[in-house]
Amino acid sequence: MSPNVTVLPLSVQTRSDVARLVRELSEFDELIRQAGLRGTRVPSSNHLSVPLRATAEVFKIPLDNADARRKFSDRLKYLHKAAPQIHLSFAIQPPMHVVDSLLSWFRTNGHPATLVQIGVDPSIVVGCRVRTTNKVFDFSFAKLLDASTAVLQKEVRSL
Amino acid sequence: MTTEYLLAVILIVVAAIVCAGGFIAIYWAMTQNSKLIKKQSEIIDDAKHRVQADLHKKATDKFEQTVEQNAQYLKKDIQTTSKALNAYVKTEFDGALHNELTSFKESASEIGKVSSEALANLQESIAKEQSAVLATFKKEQDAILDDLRAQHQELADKVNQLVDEEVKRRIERFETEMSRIVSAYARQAFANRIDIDVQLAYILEELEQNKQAIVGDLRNVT
Repeated sequence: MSPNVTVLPLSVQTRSDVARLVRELSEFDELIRQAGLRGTRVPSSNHLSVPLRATAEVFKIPLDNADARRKFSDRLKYLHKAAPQIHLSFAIQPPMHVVDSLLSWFRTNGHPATLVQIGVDPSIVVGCRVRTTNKVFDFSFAKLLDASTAVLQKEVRSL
Repeated sequence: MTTEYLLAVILIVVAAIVCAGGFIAIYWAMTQNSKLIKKQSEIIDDAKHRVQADLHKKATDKFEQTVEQNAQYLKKDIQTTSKALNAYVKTEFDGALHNELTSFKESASEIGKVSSEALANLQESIAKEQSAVLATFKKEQDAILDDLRAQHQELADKVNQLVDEEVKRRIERFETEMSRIVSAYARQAFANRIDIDVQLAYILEELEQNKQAIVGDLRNVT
């Protein structure tokens, strides 16, 4: 299984979200197993959370099928372990739609299973700082100011 | 019997009275005698003192007179002796001095003859030595002056260099501090003032500009 062929919905953004999906899927399996033992009605997949259902829909997984659920759980576990993660730092906690936009960009242009982790750093002031596995990209105002120090010094010198 | 006894008693009483009278008379006589002896001894002591004082005075006068006479004699003798001694010493000293002066004059004339040439040579050598010392001294003085000028020039260059470096350092520090102040002011001024929706376009633009590096790193990881 390769994460390159999977696409996560925007409702699944972080590695914790993936872990939550795995746990919810396991609980759902357990409910079905207990219902089978008791001989009661099997619970419907409509009671599951929206992110889990959306993810299953993206993966085209019939949640009523036990084998499909097991494969789905394996895929989710693999994603939890192997999906690339981007760390985004902002001056303040960003609203959800901003995170969605940025995550869409990463999943469209980079990797379709990209996960994010949001951090807050007031020294950024404006913009954000992106940290991939091996690199850091600073798009903050602080970085711009630091880069413009030579220009500022030149302006001060010309006074 | 009774009369005899009475007579005997009377005789005894008379004898006692006679004895008492004799005792008193002897005691009176002894008292008078001792007074007389005491008076005589006082007179003798007084006379003795007077004689002693008289003798002492006479002896003193005689002694002084004798001492004075001896002193006169001794003085006359000393004067006579000293006159004779002076005359003898004067005669002997004059003779010896005359001899010494004569020999000294001869020696001096000989020394003058010998030393005039040596003195001329000495003056000449001193003049030569003096000129050589003066030349050496002048040379050393010139060398010291040149050295001092070089040191002064070097010191002045160093001071100028230090001043230039300090000016440059302070200007750089001022520029750095001003940049820091402006940056801090700008950060404080922009903090939380720009809507994050407005920032989103800027962030997406930056992502597009760095797309190759970001995507490359993501794909390398997977």
